[in-house]
Amino acid sequence: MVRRPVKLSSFNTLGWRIALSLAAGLLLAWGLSEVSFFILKDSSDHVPQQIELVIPAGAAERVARGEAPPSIPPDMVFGVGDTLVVKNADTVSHQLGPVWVPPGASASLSLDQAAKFTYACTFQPSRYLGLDVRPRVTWATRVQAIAFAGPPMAALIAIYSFVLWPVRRSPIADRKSHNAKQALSVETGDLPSAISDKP
Amino acid sequence: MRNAKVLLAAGIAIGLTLAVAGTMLFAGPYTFHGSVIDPAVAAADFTLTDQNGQPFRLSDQKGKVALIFFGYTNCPDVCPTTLTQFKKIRAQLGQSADRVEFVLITVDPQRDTPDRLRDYLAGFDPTFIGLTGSLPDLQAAYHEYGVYQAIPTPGPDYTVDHTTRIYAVDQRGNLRVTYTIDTAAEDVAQDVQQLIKGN
Repeated sequence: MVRRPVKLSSFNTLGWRIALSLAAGLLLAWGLSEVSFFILKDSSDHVPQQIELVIPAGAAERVARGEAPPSIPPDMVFGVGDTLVVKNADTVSHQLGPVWVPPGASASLSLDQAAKFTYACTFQPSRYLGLDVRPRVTWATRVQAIAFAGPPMAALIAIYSFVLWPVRRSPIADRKSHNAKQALSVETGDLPSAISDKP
Repeated sequence: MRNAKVLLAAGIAIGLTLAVAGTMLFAGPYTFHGSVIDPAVAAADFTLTDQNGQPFRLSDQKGKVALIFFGYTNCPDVCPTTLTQFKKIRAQLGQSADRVEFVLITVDPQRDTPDRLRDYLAGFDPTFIGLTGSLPDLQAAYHEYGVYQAIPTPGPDYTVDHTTRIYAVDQRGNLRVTYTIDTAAEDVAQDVQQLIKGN
């Protein structure tokens, strides 16, 4: 009986199946990561920028009376890379944690590390000011997310595909294996059953 | 063959030159590690008495960078830590250290006599300058530099609550940068090098 060579699609070879699963896993991980990024993205995650805070004239007097100076929130959220600029329009020096500003001057601080601080502050009635510096989502973060999620997803996809569509052995491989068996039988003197059974 | 070697060497030389030029061209301005007073303001002048009983006037120190700290010799924690930082900064600066003055202004003039300051500073570095003075002169300096100073519990072994900021005054007598005490000595030393260069 003559066996006709069966043409296998690329999908049915082991190497292609793994490669396709890996590609699908990475693509899916990328999609999920980007969707989560856009859903969870917060306001501090912007291009590094300069954030200006003005201490108004008379702030020290207002604070001494227990009133909060206008336009200064008790907590502030920044992203790494932002620069905080504090302008002091008051007649006395003011302090915002690491930033000290002489009267009539301005001072800036580069926020280069993610951290959450509660600082002593001279222009809040509570004398404290919360400062939250959040890490920025960079390309490296996104690539890292894909690198972490992609391979496990690819493995799951590969396993799933192997269960649903088992890989068939290639006829070329079958023929090679058959030939190898025959060669081995000739060397050892054992005739393959197919030959020995011939009348 | 010889031509190829010459061409290779020329290529490497041109590549290196372009890399260096590109780095110099696109490198941003130096970013100070502390809170930068921008534009710089003239540092408030004061005249106090050093540990040798000699008058010390800040405006006479032009041509040198001054690092100023307000503390006291009986301080159990922050002041010795800051003076140790000063020592590290001085060591990091190497020969440039001669162009920097490390100044401690007392917040405890009752106990910090010139003799006491001399003995105390000798334990760190005899080149450090310790300043004391009359209460009105010291209070004027505290006010100008936004220094808080109070004795919470009076008694024989009282402690003094005080501001723990380091002030950097450049060679022209301008107040340029202030630091919290937890700023790394290496970072302050780098900034001081920039101030010495006139940046």
